[in-house]
Amino acid sequence: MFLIFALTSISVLAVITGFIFMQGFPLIADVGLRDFLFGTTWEPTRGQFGIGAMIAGSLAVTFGAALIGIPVGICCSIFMAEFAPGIVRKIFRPAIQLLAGIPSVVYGFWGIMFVVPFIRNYFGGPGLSILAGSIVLGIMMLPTIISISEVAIVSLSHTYKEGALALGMTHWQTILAVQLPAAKSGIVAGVILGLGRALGETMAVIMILGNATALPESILSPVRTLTANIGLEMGYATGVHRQALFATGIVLFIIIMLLNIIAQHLTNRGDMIE
Amino acid sequence: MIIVSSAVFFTLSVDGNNSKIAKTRITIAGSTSVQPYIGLISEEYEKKFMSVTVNVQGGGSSNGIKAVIDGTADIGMSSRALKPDEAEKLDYIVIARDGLVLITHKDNPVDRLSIEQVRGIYSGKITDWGEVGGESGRAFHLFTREAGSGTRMVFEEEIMTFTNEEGEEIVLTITAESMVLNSNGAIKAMVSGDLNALGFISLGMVDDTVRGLQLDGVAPTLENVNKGVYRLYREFLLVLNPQISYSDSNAINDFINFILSEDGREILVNESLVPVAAVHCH
Amino acid sequence: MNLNISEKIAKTVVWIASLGMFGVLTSIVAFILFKGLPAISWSFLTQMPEKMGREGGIASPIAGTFLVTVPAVLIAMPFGIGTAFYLAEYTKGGIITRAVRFSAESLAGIPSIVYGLFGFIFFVVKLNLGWSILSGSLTLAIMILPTIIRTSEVAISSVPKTYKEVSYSLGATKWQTIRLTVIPSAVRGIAIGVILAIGRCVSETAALILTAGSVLGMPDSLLSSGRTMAVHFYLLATEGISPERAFGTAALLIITVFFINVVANTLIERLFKRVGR
Repeated sequence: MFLIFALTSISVLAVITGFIFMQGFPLIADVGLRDFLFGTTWEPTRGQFGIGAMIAGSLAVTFGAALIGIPVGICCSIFMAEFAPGIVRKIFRPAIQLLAGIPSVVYGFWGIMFVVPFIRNYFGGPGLSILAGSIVLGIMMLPTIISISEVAIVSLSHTYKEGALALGMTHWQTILAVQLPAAKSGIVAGVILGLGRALGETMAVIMILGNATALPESILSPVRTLTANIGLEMGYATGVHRQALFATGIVLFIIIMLLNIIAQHLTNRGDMIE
Repeated sequence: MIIVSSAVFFTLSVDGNNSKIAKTRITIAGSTSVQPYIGLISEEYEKKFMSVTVNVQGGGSSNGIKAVIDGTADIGMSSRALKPDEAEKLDYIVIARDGLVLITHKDNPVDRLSIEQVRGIYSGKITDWGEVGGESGRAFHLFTREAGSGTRMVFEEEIMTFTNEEGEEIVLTITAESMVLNSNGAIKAMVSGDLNALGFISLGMVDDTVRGLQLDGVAPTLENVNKGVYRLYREFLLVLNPQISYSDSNAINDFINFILSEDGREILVNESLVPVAAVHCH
Repeated sequence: MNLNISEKIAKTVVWIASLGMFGVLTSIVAFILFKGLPAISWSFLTQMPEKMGREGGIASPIAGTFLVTVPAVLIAMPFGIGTAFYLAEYTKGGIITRAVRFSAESLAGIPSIVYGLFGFIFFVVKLNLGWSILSGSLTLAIMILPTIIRTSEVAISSVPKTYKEVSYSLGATKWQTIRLTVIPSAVRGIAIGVILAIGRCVSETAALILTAGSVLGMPDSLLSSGRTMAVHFYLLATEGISPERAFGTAALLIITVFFINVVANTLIERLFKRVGR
């Protein structure tokens, strides 16, 4: 029955992982893990494959995006679940769904039209920067985080809230101390999905980060992410260069796996309330 | 579900007239620099010969060449010269010359650079616009194409590679701080908005949103490329596999002849390419 | 007193953050629609692109989008929802369950470019499907699988246990319980997942360029290469080919997503009426 469907999920993951590793591992073996991960020179045509700068780039931009996206996202989901009047909720909920479906290239384009020139004119630098990336990615994360978190909060049994209020807690206290922790699994799921989207974003970052291969010096510096590295060069790469891009894929893969494992730990603790 | 299926049928029927006739299909793959031009030509060709479909794919020069070797594409497009092992297996035709132009923001006071200066800037040795005649205190915002791009490779070969006084060939690397964008259009768009920017694009893409710089005193115009006076250019190649007998080989020959004909050349000229017709066989 | 003030501050912050966020997001959409709607006309929708996109319409990218999305969703739904049921309802906490959950969670995090890499090597090269709608569709199916699993599972497991307990106490079997109580309650959440998945298909760009290619012509079979609206928009926008058509394509993309959402939401409303809740 359902078991068959479930087993396909495992096999799909296994096949993908297997492929990527098989294609990319030989290169990591050749170059040496430390040089590959920490080397900051990426010159594929000269045989130099160090992705340190790109790991830094991916982490910096995602971190910045999280700073914007997570607090605002959770605020909005609380707003929609608890504070918004019925009519507002009826409009906003489909609006969020709509916004979640907007292609990343559109956000990227908006970034090029508005965010990049704004940063260039008011903050300096070429505008193509970590800051631009964080802003655009942070905004991109919002619909995902909000829609899933809101479903999680709203799906809570009313007894949680009613019980807390009956005990004399204020609305905000109820939210903070009872509803949010109870909805934790759902919220964390939404946040992880959002973070994953930011880490995995390719098109928008190619458009607005500048893709320089040097280590960034400030948030106004252009930077390249692991995803952009693959996206930019995959079409042209052959042989060793291609293997190096798969190897980049492996690193990306592992970082995200780690993220998921951390998330699972957090979620498991939260489930104890049930 | 119903809505979706009817929408699918609708869109497929829009092209209803042609899709019922059996068509000959030509597959062309390769350089994204050459793709737009071949695309334009193939549109005209399809209008004249409605029984032929020409599929023009991108993917990059290297992929296109490989596709022709493997037989997955009928014709390959390349914006770089063939490597020796590739040249052994393939025939090629040069269809056009494409100048490469260094561009800056329209209001940038600098309107000319020497090759040594460009080399110095792109290798990171020259870091201030003041050193080349512009305003002091402005750092360069450099733009380049992605590794593996034919456009970049030409730039690296013509500008970053040189012979020094001792007769040694030196190859400089483009600085890691330069920003990388994956199309000529994107570079043009960025440069047109940034006073400190410097980039290089196809002559065919230059318009009045950016300023094209003189290189070693020579203006980057179609004429100068044609005469050979402006030396920074690359050749667009069509690549063919002589070992494969194409079932549609007449169609392919016809198409190539069309490209080399007056009509084809006119299209290229309109796009600021210099049409060339030189067939190389071995 | 302190409680009141912090309560008020918290509420104000939440209101401001929310309204500010909605403001930004709607201004993005408004900008695109404002610039793009004028470009949309019947001929824009039904004409093929000409001069590499500088002129003409976007009929082939529209077709490409459907051809790539529909099969992907049809393939992914049974596998995804089935897996979600397995995880939420049949779990005995065994190794298989943990492996399945781990797989689903991991697949969710894989970036679309890695799917593109995999799709390119596996479907395009190894299975020799070439750059084609089929390669793109299969890649998309794998890509949206985790989204469907995850949101469906949240929906299914969010059904309060009391519903199920009441059902069992009335003598229903497990399958009956699932059919009559769990599914109706979870439908909304599952549908949201499918909608998110469709949206993801319509918006995907990087993976599709690597698997379905970027040929501008009308695809005449699943093995032809083709563009989707998202890919077309990306190429038009970044290469500066035609700003009007770029905006028009983007506007159409947004309208499509809007349309999908509206259709899906009305379907859900009707479903609820039938179930009588």
